[in-house]
Amino acid sequence: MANEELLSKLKTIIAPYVQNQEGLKNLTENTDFIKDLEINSANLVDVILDVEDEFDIEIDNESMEKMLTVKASIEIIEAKLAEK
Amino acid sequence: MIGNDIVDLQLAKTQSNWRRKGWLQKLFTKEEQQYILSSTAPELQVWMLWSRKEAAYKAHQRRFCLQPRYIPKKIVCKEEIVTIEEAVYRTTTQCTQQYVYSVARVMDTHYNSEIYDTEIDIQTRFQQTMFKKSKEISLISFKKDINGIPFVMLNGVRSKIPFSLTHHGRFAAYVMQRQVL
Repeated sequence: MANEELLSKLKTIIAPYVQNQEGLKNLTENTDFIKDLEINSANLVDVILDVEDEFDIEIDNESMEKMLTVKASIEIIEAKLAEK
Repeated sequence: MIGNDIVDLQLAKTQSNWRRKGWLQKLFTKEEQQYILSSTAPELQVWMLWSRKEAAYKAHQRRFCLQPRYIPKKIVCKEEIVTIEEAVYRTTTQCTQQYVYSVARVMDTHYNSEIYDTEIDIQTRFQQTMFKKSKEISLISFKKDINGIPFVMLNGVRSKIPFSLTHHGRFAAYVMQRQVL
């Protein structure tokens, strides 16, 4: 999957949980889910569950620890897709 | 060392579906899940445990200057005691019809804490409280460090007093460690 396609899918997934719409408009690889998008920490688990459903992968606890930025999420999704 | 977390129960109901498949399993240990599911008020237990975990995580992150990580299952609740990678915190939780509020602290830490309606600016209210306490303080503001941990600026100088902020929906709260001389 091309990086751009992955980024666009991820953007669609996180959109419903974003509380700072400005941050979503300016989304880059360095965007931080909590600092920049103000996603509630109890909703980060929904992002993770949505990612699992969308890409048909399993995010283990170790990967989940790092899923706080766009960059880390893309790296984890790519790694999990490659394992399939 | 201290940390705090508030959950607006009405907002939590619309923001999160705790019954969603996988939701409890990713956030809570097996024992915690059993505790929640065997309760007569499971939803309230979800947010009580969650606020304890969040409050303890904030105290832990500040205590060891840690980068943010999403580690809910490494934060283990046993009644009011919360353990994170062998570090132990004691939590105090307040429950009302509207919110759940937890303060976590390293044993024997003293603190001051207040809850506000978010319609009132917490920084302004905090200033009023502090001005009353000390005539030497004329300027107070809240800032955050690189890890997102808040601190207080007093008269333009960064205060070393551990301080934590939380807000959710209609509620905001601060907790500040009390200096015992």
